[in-house]
Amino acid sequence: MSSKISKDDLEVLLADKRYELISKVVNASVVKGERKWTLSDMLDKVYLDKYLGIPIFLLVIWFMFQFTFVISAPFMDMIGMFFLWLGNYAYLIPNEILASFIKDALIGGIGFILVFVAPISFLFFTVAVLEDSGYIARSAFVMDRIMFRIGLTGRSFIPMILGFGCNVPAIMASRSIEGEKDRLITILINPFISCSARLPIYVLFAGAFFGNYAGFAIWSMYLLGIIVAIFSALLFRKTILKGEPAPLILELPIFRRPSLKTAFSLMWNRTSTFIQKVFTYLLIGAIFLWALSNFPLEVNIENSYAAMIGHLVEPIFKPLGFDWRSAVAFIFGFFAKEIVVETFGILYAIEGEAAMTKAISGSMTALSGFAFMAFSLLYIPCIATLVTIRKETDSWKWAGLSIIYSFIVAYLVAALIVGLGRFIGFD
Amino acid sequence: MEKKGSFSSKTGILIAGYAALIGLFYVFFGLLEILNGLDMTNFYSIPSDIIGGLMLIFIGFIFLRGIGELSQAKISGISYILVGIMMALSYSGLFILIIGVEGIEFLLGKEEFLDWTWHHSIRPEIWLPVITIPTILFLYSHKKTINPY
Repeated sequence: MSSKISKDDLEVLLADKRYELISKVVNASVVKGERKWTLSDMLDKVYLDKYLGIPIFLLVIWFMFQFTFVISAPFMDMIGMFFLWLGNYAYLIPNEILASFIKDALIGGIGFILVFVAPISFLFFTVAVLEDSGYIARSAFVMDRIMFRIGLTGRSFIPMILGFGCNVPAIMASRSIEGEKDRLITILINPFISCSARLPIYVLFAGAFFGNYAGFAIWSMYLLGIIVAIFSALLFRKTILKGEPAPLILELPIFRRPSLKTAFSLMWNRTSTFIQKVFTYLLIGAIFLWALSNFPLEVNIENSYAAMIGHLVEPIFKPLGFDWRSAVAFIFGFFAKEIVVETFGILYAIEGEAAMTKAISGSMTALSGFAFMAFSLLYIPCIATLVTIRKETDSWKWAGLSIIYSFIVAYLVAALIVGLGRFIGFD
Repeated sequence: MEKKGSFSSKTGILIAGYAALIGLFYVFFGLLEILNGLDMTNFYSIPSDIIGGLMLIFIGFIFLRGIGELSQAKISGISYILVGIMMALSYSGLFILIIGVEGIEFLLGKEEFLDWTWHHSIRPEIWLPVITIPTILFLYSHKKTINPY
């Protein structure tokens, strides 16, 4: 055995030998009867098929997105209508500032974000069904060949899928990856996977600019996140984290019928975390933003503290077609991505998704809107994700790299969208 | 583990031929959705949906991939029919749900659904699974060869 053999190769060799021994013992001691095909065998034969594995994965993901975004739409509308109705009662309050606080900060700020409980809970439900059925482990297996080509192991795919829910547990899930460099790359690319907190941004902007193609625009953001993650993995593997990815050894659980009770329970656990977030620091964020946009008193919003902050950083975003409101949204979005949408709700001081989409479509072009969606997806991870990166890597160096790298990538991608779009003739 | 001979070669060829037919139907309607999506054609009652069309083609591929094993009367070949039917029915169910959702949007008085009628939302994904009924019956007749656990 060569002395150059790596730790990972050694583990594969050991696993090979272990299974060789197991089959010798089993063959010598067990007489096989004729076994029926199990349902799990049948599903595995097709789901893990060399040619069908990836198309089936795409079928499953597309189904998941259609179910999440289209089926949840009327629920979003109903929640939105409720808060619109509630907001009308704020006009009965004689004190103008108090009425604005209740209507714009409390009902508007919170109500506007609570609308997105519907698609988020639907997304969590579908992820829970996939987890419970055993399909997520199969998707890692199917994607291993592609993942290996981009310098990662199939095991990295599970944190990537979990990242669609929230990047924080997804980064924590990368602990199961054995190779240190594989783990670091998985952690660094995970913030590019579009978490549920970005979903309200896409729904709002896609609705404002893309009409019947809104679903496609949202899907393209998820795809863009995956493409940037792949590109980044390749870049890291070829530069700062050189080496070969560890081979995938994965024991597949048998397929089972997902339990609705488990799926609903998982959905509720995750959705309730989101609702708690809305009523804690998103509420604080809404109040803070309302104060910034309403003070000094007796001045136009263009001269408020929020506008001052926005105008200060506006020149950075101006080439991309974003105004000072977008700049403020990005700054506060660093605390939690949901605040990006909340910011627009407060700065425009209007309620309801329909009014908001009109206001946004009037303030930027469809091209800039698309670039805004891409920038929101890729720019600096939220503070909770950064703290998790720091904790999992035990170093601020990687968290710092994540901030700088993601901002540069976001800016370049948004500039590319605007530049290419203008070149083709869109504006 | 493959268990040969659970159905006759003649049945195998017959079911393989029928799976091919289903596969081709799905591919055909998938292509129509893509062509409509690219504004190259304008077929009535076919949506303009590039991604949706691609998904129909993928479902078609599942049925087509099983032809080889089914024609050799290999029991493992019915796996492709089973998964194909599962995908076809899931997408059919999804688009039926979407009709319901659009109906709710219409009742809520949403601007973009003011002229909505349910038959505008009928698309091939919904009715195409009807052609899989003979294969569902075939699977049902072979359910004893499959261990559910």
